[in-house]
Amino acid sequence: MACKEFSINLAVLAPSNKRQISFGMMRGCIDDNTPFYAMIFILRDLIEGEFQDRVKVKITIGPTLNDKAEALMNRGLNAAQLDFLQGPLTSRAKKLPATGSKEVEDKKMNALGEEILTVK
Amino acid sequence: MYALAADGPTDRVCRKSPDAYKGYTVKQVRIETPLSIKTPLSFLFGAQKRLQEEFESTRQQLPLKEGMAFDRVVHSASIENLFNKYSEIVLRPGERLRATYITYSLEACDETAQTMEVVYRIYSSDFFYYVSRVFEMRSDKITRSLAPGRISAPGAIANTNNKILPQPFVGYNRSRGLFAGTIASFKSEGGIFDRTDMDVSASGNSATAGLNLSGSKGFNTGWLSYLDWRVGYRYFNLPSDDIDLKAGTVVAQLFGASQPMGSSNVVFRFGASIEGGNRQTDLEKNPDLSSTLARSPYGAAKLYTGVTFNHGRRALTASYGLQLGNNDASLRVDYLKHIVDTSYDARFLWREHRPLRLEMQLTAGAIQSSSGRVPVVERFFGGNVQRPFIEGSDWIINSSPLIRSFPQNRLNRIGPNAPIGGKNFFSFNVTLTQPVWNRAAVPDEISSDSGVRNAIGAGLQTAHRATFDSYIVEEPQYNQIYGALLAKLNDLAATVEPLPKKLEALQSQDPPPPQSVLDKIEQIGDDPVLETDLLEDSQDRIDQAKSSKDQFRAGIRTLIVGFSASRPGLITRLVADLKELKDALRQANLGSDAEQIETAANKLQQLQSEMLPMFNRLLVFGQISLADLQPARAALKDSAESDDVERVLQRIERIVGEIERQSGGAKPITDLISPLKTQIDEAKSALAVATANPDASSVDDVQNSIDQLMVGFGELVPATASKIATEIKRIRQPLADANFNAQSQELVKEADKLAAFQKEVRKRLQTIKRTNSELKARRDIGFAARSLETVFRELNLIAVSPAILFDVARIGPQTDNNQGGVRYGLGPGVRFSLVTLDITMGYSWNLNRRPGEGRGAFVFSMNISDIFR
Repeated sequence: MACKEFSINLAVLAPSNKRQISFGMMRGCIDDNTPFYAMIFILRDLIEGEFQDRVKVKITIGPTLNDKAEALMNRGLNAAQLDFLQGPLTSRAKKLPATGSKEVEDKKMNALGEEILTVK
Repeated sequence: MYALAADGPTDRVCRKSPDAYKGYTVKQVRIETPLSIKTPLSFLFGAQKRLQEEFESTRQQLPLKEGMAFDRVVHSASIENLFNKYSEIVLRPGERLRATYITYSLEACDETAQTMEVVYRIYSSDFFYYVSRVFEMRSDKITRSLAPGRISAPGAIANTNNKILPQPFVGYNRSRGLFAGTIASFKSEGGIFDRTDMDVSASGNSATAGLNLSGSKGFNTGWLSYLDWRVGYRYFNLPSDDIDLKAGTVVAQLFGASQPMGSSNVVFRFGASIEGGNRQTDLEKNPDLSSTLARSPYGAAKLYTGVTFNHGRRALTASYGLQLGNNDASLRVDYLKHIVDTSYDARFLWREHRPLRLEMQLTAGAIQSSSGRVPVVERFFGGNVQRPFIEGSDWIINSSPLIRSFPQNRLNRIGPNAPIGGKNFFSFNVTLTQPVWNRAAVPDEISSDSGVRNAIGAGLQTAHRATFDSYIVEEPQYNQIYGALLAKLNDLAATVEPLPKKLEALQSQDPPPPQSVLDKIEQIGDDPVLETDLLEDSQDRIDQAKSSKDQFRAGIRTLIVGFSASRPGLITRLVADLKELKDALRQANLGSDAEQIETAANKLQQLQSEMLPMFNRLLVFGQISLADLQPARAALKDSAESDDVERVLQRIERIVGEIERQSGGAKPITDLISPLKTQIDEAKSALAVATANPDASSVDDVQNSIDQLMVGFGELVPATASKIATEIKRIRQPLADANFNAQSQELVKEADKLAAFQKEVRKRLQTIKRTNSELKARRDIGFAARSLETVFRELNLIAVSPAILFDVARIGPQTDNNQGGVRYGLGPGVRFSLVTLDITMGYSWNLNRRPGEGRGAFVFSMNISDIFR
């Protein structure tokens, strides 16, 4: 089936009203036969009346791991992957310089992004 | 009307792949949403202008710009830009869920001029929620709608804090004639009362007015969901036959509701109010009519309780109200009024976006009074407008006979020389509607796209996991393990904390230690396996784990356990690197330093081995085990059994392969079977994980895969097995028509076997005992899934439905056969629905008309239908 671009994002407020979980996946296309994927996971906690980001990670997954990305798009994140996001990925993200809304290209982040697909 | 939710008018949409338009000049780039539609009511959608301004700013930031040559990669980058933007939006308390889907269409492709237009389409539940709230006077917390409560995010289009929101309205009934008015509300944060509602309406012979100050408090724990309180004033002057009914009432109320309970989301409601004022009529103008109390002061205490059951698309509500009424300044109870009001609403989704809706209501009431001193206004008057038992409240308990073939208050005679109005009544009402024209909120080509539905399923699965994690940390047994681990974590922190200073001291020794020692110290600062500063990261993870119970597991896992062979725990690597440093120090004859480092390494190793079993217990706490899943897995793959799901899938795959070979790859056949092939691949992938060796997959992955394959999330994200069965049914006839009758029949047989296995697996999964946390998480995500299902499969932007209206009502006690008795009303109507706002108009005939009664009455009502209950 030819590649078609779309994105979907689902944000849910936890019953405590104090935590928001947002999970989104996007499929982009280099051409009809070459998809790539991006995943965004944001975990926000209510702190002093405002929601603040506790975990915010965006990963772009290249063509070599498309099968695993497709599986993630079908099954979502498991517990280990959620911990990985809040552990090594968040650690790495915190070390990156603050650039406002601009994305930062970081090889280690990209490598971690691909590694999350294999975490069980 | 501007074409909205579909991919543009069909003659504008470019049908080829985007690759075919590479190099075309992009004449226009637009962003559109369902709120882009133009309707006569557009003036009410003040947000449209704001949205357009916002979109214009966003459009200018997109990589793809007008005048550029179209490029697929740049186009994908534009979608990514929108994806990033909409992922950032914050939910606010009260907004339970937001789903956003972004797609595009290429339009007006001119092969001669090599030009095109690109339209990015954004579907967000935020938009639908806003539209449904335009006409809402009050938030409905009785049912858990898609986004109940206040939206106070500054950027949210539905943010209405600190704004007066007037909403004019008009109406008609034969009693009042044409009337007009306005509703206004003002919301603000803070204070006992954070909302003010006002309404006023008038016609040539009537007037109503109300003012309410209200506040509320929600509860996240315990059985109570929320408490609302309200003070207000209500006035009405409404005509009945020959008299006017007037009342002024000051009211103070308190009510609340429980948390939803059980699988049917049962909600209990309760409340009380104190009222005072007056009740008046102009009966002395008509001395031939007997009366009880034409005018009197009024005082009352009201108590009310109710329950709602929700199950899928059906809801049952029952309420009881008791009024203790008083006609003077004393505390004596002059009369008791009992009201029972029940309703049943059901939607039958026999076709997507066109549900048959059935609304039934049964109401009864009775007044007890030993003295007979009951104000006329408090007696029962029937007609086509409900009289709420609780004035100015969200909770509508009807307290008068509703019969739409009579104008308001005109069913009031029980006999000549009898008091006007009744002392008891019942009414039964049925409304049946069926949309015959609709514009879906989410177009079919999007809602039926399996990629979209799978992605929603993945989002729900992730949210379910994260929600479960939020609940589990509140369980007492979890907290016991957590407490024990925390104590060990503190010991770990005490061991790690002095290490940076120690290594710094080693590095700055004079004379400096040998390069081999310095290299090992440097290695700790940039570990070759984890590629990070082990001490800094360990300290960060310790702080993370200690800071929040929710972050505890992630922190401990990163520290102690790791994630894979190539990503062990930080402490594992720290111990290894410290031991290498110790060896280097010994070789450099720095024995004392070596001993200190060895002590630290051994301590860390000991703590790690003590923490590991505790953490493993924490990790699996509240989850089901692989042993629990074994009966379900056995149905998926078991060579000892005569058949299993794996073999059924293999046979289906073989039959499909046979069809493909025999067709010689003919395009009509390959196109026909292509979706089925995709689903088979999906099923095989899920089956592989679901039945994998326990070492190869986590319990989480196994369960998720079984759910994906066999359970799904309702009709919106059906199980892969269901999709295969549906697809086989869809292609059965076309295959038979294409001379593949035998294969078609074989496929149907296999689909039936798959369905049987699916039923068996679900049955086995239901026997697994789930923890409270798991049940709560399922309840919450189940609600989110149902809401999304409603948006995708049921919600319309606009719909038109013919309606049938049927009523039966009676007021009593009947004193005369000519004027009392049961009345029947029947008539047609039409309902216009704008998202969840229903405007119903029609005419109901008075079937067994009595002398002095009209032929019937026009019907007009506006309601918000809570289809997201």
